[in-house]
Amino acid sequence: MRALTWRGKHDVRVETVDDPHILNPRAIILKVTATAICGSDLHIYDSFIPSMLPGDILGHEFMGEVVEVGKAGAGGLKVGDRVVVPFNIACGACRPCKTGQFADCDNSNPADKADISEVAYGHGVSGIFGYSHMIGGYAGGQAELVRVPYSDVEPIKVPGGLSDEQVLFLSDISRRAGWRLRTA
Amino acid sequence: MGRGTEVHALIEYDAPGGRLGRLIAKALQHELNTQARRELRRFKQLMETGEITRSDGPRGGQRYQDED
Repeated sequence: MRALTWRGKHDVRVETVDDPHILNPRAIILKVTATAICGSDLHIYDSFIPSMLPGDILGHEFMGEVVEVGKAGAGGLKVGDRVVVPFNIACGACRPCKTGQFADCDNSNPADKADISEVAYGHGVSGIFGYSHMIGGYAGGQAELVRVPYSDVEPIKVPGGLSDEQVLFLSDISRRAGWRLRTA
Repeated sequence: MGRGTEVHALIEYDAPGGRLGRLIAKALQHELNTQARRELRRFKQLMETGEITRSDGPRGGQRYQDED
């Protein structure tokens, strides 16, 4: 597939990389139909985010069509469904997730990556798509395909009749603004 | 709501090569304390979510190795 990769400060490139595969039963693969560049992506572009490695695929605001579903069934999502994917990854099962604090998910940052954020911030943080190795090391969605883990928790199924442009911002800013208003 | 179950592991061992060996192991991320912490975290993931979280995925980079 084609994907936008980070190579270093002020150096991002569209290149051909391997397609993603389902690794865990609760994951899905999406064919990305729309993606946005976030202001936070500029921090990566300007090299302000530590633990980026050359070749990392960028993008945490995206949506798409389900093309493959893991063995666990993805909470009812089916091939062909359109979904918007919120940027931070939540397992839905740990204490922070059960109390609605998805951004503090204990489990979505792989064990060897979470160490870095514990040292940097004093506590582990959840995984985020395309946002450095200390925040999970996940391939992002500025690509033709993306793997979405724990797909039965956060992804939002898009009802028919709504265009990509009408719902894409549920991946980040709209959803988070709503979240902040609810929890303020 | 309870805060869950705390699991602590106490492991006593003699690092091969003494202090220096331990330092080298730590630099290579093979030090026992690091490994045990990560294994406990994976155990928690497996217990709570039914899977061990992985993010290894497609990466770019090879194509431009020679150019840079």
